[in-house]
Amino acid sequence: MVEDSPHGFSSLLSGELADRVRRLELFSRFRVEGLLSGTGKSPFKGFTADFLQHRQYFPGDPLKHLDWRVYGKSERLFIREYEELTNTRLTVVLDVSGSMSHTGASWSKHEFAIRAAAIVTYLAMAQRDSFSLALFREGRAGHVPFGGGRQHLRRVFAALLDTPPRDGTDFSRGLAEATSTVRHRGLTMVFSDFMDDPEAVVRRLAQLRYRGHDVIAAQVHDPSEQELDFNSVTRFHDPEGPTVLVVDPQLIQRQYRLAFETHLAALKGACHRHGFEFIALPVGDAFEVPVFTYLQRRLERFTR
Amino acid sequence: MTLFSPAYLWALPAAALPIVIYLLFRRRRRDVTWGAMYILRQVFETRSRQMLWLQYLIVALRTLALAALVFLFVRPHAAWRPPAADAFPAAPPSTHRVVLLDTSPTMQARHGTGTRMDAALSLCRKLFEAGRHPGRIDLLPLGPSEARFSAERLPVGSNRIEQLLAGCAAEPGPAEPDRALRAAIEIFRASPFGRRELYILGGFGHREFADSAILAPRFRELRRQGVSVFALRYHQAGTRNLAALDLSAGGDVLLALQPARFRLTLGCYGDPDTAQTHVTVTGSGDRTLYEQTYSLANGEKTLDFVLALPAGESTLTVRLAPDDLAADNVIRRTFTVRPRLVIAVVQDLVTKTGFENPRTWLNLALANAGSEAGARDTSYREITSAAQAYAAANQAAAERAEEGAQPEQPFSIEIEGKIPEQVSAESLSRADLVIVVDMAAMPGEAFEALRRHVVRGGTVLLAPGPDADPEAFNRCFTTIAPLLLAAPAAATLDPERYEHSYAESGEDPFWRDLESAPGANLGSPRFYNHYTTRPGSLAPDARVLLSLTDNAPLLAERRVGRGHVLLWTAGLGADWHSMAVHAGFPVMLISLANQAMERREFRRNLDPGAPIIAPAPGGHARIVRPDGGTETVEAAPATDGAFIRYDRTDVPGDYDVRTDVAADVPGLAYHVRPDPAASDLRTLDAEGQAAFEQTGGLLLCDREPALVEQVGRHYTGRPWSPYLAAALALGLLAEMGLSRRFFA
Repeated sequence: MVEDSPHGFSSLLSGELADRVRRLELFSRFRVEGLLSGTGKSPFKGFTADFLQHRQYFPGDPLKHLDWRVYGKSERLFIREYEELTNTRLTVVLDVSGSMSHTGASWSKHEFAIRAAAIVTYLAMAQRDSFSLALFREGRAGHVPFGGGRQHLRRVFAALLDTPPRDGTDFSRGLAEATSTVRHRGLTMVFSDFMDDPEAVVRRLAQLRYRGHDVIAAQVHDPSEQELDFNSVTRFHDPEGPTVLVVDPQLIQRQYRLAFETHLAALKGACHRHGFEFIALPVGDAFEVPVFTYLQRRLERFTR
Repeated sequence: MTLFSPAYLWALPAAALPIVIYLLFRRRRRDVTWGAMYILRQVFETRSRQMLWLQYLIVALRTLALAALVFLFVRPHAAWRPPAADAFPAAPPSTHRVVLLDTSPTMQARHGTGTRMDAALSLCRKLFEAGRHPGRIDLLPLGPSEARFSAERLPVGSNRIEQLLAGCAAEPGPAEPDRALRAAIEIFRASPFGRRELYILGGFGHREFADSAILAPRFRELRRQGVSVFALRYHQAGTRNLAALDLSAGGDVLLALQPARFRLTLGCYGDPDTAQTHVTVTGSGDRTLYEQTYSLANGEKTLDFVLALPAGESTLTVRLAPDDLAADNVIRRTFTVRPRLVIAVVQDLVTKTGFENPRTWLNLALANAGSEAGARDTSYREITSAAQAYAAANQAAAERAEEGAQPEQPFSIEIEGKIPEQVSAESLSRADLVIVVDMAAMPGEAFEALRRHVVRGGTVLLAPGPDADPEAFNRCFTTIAPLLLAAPAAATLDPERYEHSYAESGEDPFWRDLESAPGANLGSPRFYNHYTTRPGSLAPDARVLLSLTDNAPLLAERRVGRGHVLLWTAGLGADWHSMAVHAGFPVMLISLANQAMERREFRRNLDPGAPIIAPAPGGHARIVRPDGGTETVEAAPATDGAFIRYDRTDVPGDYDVRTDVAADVPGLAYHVRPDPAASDLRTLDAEGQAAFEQTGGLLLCDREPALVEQVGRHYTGRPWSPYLAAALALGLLAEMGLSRRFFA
């Protein structure tokens, strides 16, 4: 776990981790720009901050806000003032239990989840929102407090990358400890596979909702987990414990798929009943869902 | 159950393929780390066991479906069940049945309450009644007859059936399996019907049934024509079957009251293999001449007995009992019994007298035991078996005279002494045997007369003495002598150095008695010297009858014209051998003379196929055959009369040759003995049966129910194919349904 360091972030990272952070940052940037390029909005322009008025320049004002066009026309110095929106406080909660280590055809759920989380936090950074990271397993597994800016982003990325998935899951305790430091209301995105009783999980998430947080439950699952597409007897090892099941998948494939869909539906239904959004994130290349969901919910907050 | 195409059963193991695939897949295990264990655990605990049994069921359905598919190709049919206890399988449409029915005498044997023929006809009746249109039945005798009894519009009425059966049964004859099978093949070749069946019903006693080399090509052709062959043997356990095969003496001509050894050849067949066999020999007027009971095992046997027959023609009838197949347990033979023997002794005028003259020894050996001449030397008379025979015959004649029977005279021997100048065709014509004693050469006329005598059927014994010149002998007799002489074996006699004689052919009936102890025991006399013979001088049509232990010929024979010339190389006196004082000497001479006599007569007891030659002074004769047929044969003229020759002696039995064609009076009896190998009165033994079954590719049934079962197996009951197809379809539907429902 990487704690926030007053001496600067870079000095605490090893070379490999620093490379990975940089790669993740680049990845996130390209993804976000790519996703938003169609909308004509630039994350770096703060498109949600609209121009309000000009005022006279007083010494000490940041020169970057000087409107040089007006000076050219009037030879008078004016500062551009923007409509300042309230910053969203984004909390990314990530499940780093053993079940997230399941690997399908491409990435593991954990790898996909940290990329999705990275993109969202990058976007938050671009929106000048403050963001934090909470990791949980059977309890709290890591925490990066709220902050903003690129350095903070890197801290978050380092925490994401440096916390491998392992051990079991205790949604109650884990979520409670992970979100105990989230005092200010904001947007909380929980990335997990939610492999537990849907009602129990959602009740825990609902507590955040009741505390005024805007909760998005992002269920990460691998399509292969849903299919159980094996044609021979298989030993299924539980990544969160010693359990091994020897199963002929052919026998229960249909029932399993049905159960998986039922589980997803139950999760979705429970989330809706408790008033927060549920998005299903099959591991793949479709990162637009978490991105647009984040943006949409942020906008809703501003327009409320 | 019948399988029409059992060859497809090789594919049955493929039905286990689903099981094999299932097991193979279950063996392959992989390890996976599964993130959704929460859900997997739930489903596993609730459904896994149920689904496992369901999977077993699906695998079983697949296996059964494959098995059903294989059996569809195998085409099983239920076993045919006869509609009634004694019903014969009804022929399917377009069936052509050919029945070969044995009509030989063996079918007259007892079988149940009737005969074998009754049982066979009853089966044929069922075959006709079971016929169906379209179809055809042909009934053929298994014997030589080419008659055919056919029915086309089946089934036929009972009257017509009886007509056909009676017709076939009225064609008796010995079985001829090869000929009958060829006839059946020709019938099937022209048959338009698709289904063909051949039935062989009979005793299966003919040797051809056991000879696969003869019948194999026929059965191969029948198989090629697609004919199914069935065979039923009529043979009852405990059947006793005796066959009188031959009765012979040394020849067909005997001397009156001379004890002659007769040999009976008989066959014992059937069950049990050891039983009491009673032999009865009767003569003219059914007088029992010999009777004896023997304990005989199965097989061909020879029994010897001695009879002394009176002068004249004697027809002996041998009967064997007990016999269940009595058609061949009787045999008849006719023997001509002569009252006298005439021997001509040709000798030069010589000065030798007494026992120096070999003729003395001849006279002594051949003289009648009751003659004055024989009485002069009591000791010699007593040691000759001929004298003993005469004494016994005289005793028997005296006994019969006391009983009031007509007195019979034993044979007498007439010895006619001749010098060469007295030798002529006429003077030799009465002689049964001419002995040329101690002569190395003869005048030309005498020799010519002698030669003509031989050519006309006479027998001459050349017996050069110790003083003969071999070269002179050869010059004179080279055209008729069996061998050419060379120098004597020894220049001087050594009483310690001698040879013994032995017969070259022990099987010759003429010699088998002479070599035996009761007969003549020719092996015991000692031969101190003899003429050797030139190597390679044995004439082409000559043979050696007796040899000495130094391998030199003692007695040789040559056929000249219709007669024979014998050469004795040791002289007939007592100079070179002890034969002259041996009991076998007169026996041998009488036997030679007997044989000579017989050769001048036409044989009355013939082998199968041998011609009947009989005098026919009227220019023709009527032959009454054993099968009841009669034929008239024209005679061919010969120098000494007219004779008929009749070659059709294929049927064994008694042939009556009547020279007086007008009168219904029996004539000369000729007897043709049966061919033991051709007898069909004995059935196949175990080895023969196995050979026949293998050749025919069939099972020889011994009972009618077994035949019905064989035929029934050939037919089929209800096919199982529709059920199998339905089971296959249902199984596949069930499998597809279950798979889609639970595993799709």
